[in-house]
Amino acid sequence: MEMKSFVHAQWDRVTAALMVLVGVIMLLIGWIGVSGTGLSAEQMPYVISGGLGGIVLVAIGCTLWLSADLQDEWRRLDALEKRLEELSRRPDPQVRSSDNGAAPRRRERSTAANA
Amino acid sequence: MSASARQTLEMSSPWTLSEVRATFVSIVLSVAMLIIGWWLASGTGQVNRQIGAVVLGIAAVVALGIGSFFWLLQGRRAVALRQSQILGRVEATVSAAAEKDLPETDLELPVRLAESNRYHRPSCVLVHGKPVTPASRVRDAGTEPCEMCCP
Repeated sequence: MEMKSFVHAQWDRVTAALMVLVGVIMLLIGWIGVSGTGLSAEQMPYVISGGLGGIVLVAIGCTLWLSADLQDEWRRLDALEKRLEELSRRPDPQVRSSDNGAAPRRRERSTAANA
Repeated sequence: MSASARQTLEMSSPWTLSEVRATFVSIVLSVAMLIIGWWLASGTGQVNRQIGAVVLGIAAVVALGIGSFFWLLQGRRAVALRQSQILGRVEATVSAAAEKDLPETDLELPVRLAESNRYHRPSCVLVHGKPVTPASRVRDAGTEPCEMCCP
């Protein structure tokens, strides 16, 4: 269950890790294929599918991982902006206390120093 | 995709819809070029024809690299721009909150009596009605804060 929720929450990083893993495996398969024959004509398909294909998968995986980091940063900024909006909407405590007929709020530092 | 869904996507991610589309196209294009290259290379035994297929594969990798680079660059730019906007708002909020919290006397310069080395708030009872001169808050100047009004 924990694994399922982790995969659901971090789907982009899980996909990125899988892509990098598959890319590395493809590179290995390409290397095995190329080293298994001496004919250039037989090596070329391995270079393209295993070598370049592996590089493409690793690159997509890395991009996906970095995108996930940027997305996380964006979400944190969303939360910070929301918190700032809440703070700016909060009514002024001095105005509120004046409306009630009470004395304006004193600065806490002065009270603490006198105590 | 509806207009509200587009707006939601653009609000909740550093990338615009056109950037998502462009990157998707570059990935699909490069994968297609790679498959075509592999198809051409494996279908013939002539090395001179395979060289063209390898070049196509390398072009696919370059296309993907350029697409990914601009994708990350746009994302990084969008995040940095938003960070600077939010920092500006934080500064404005903090300075507004600080102004609200400070009593009016804090905005005035401290004062001191001519014969004393203690500085006071202008409203302090110890200097009330007495001739005062402006004072410095800097302790190195030889002045100390009043213990009653705590300037």
